[in-house]
Amino acid sequence: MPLNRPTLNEMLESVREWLSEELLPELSDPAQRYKARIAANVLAIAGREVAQGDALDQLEQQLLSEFIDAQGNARQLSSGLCENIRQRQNAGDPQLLDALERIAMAKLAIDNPRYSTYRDHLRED
Amino acid sequence: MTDALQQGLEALLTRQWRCDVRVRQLNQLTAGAAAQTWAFVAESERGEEPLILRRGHDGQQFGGALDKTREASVIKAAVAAGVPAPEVVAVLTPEDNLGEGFVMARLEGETLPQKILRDQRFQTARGRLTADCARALAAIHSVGSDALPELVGGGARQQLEFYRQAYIGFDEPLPVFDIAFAWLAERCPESDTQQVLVHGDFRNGNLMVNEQGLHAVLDWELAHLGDPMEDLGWLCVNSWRFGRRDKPVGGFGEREELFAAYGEASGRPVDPDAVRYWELFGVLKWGVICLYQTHVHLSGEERSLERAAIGRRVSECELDIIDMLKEG
Repeated sequence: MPLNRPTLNEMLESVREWLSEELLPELSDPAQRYKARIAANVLAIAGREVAQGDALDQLEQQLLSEFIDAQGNARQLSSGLCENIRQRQNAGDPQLLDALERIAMAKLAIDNPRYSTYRDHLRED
Repeated sequence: MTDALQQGLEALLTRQWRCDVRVRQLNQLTAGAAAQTWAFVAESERGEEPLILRRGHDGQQFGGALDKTREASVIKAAVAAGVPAPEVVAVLTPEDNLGEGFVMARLEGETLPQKILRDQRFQTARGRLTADCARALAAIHSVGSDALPELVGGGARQQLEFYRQAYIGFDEPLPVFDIAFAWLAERCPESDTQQVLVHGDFRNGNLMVNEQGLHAVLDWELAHLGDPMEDLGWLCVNSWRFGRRDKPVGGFGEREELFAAYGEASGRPVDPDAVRYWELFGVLKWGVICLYQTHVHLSGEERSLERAAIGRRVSECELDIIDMLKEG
């Protein structure tokens, strides 16, 4: 039998909801309110990662494998690519920059979809 | 502890001002134990003076921070050069038995970037801020080394290498960062000859604004000797525009106005390419600082929710770097 509902994402959302709607209004100390807001944001990031993390991983693997002659997961490909760049290979490649832009956008969709640069990019596309 | 502090401050100021001083409303503003900021009122025949005490030393200052004694000296030198900044009233000595620190005037104004950028109240101020910042920076960069305590110097290349090694040490491989480090290394300004006082953290967030414009420059602990263009670049880093991406200078101004006003105030024309170097360096540096802070938490050195979360801001820097690299 699989684990019952709520799902991981549903649990995270429940805690975030309680934190923002029930706990935060009860807090009067500005420092505590600030931290509670950070906590709610962390939970929101976690929720988006649950929903989109696998797709980001696949995207990164798919895109980076065009630029490095190696096998591995996204982190391994990233690491290998960094090594190449440090050895002065690939650095000036405009297609690499395009690929990294797509990956950065997918990362920000999870980490902070409200970031100004991210939103401007969405408007342009 | 507060009693001892209150008595210590009374003794210090009584000696300093040669009159009887009482300290009232002493309260701690920041939650830290290592580096502390206290607000209080000093009552004497001079009247009631709102003051700030800053003391101690923050252990987690990546890239070096000034001890409070040197910070006080830098602020004094800056004020003497015409920079709007709080007056330093007294510097703690060992005899005061209060640790290391200084007392300065407590000024009134707004420091929250969101308010500075969005409150109707600061509409006029926003229009003046760019020129005000340019003049303040020109004054900072004019401070003679003879007026300064011993400060860390070092050229652009040294700084770049410091952040590159730190980034590699965190073992979070980011191709965007490596491309940026390579780009910067190729264009590193040879600025060893140009070593002036640099604020080191001149940005929206460390500026006190009132309805007339820039009221004071705050947070001098990252001051060092370096290339003045570093300060102009940092002021334009997108993270410090707090959502107003269309206004490159702090979220409130245009580069052209900043450069023109700075050139006029300092007598030194600004090379936009040089500022561009430092702006890209600034974005990268902020990204490495985020990595550093989150690792302070993850390593157990000092756990905090804020540090745990900040690691997820690195991706903001990645996208900003890509945009700048694509512009050329």
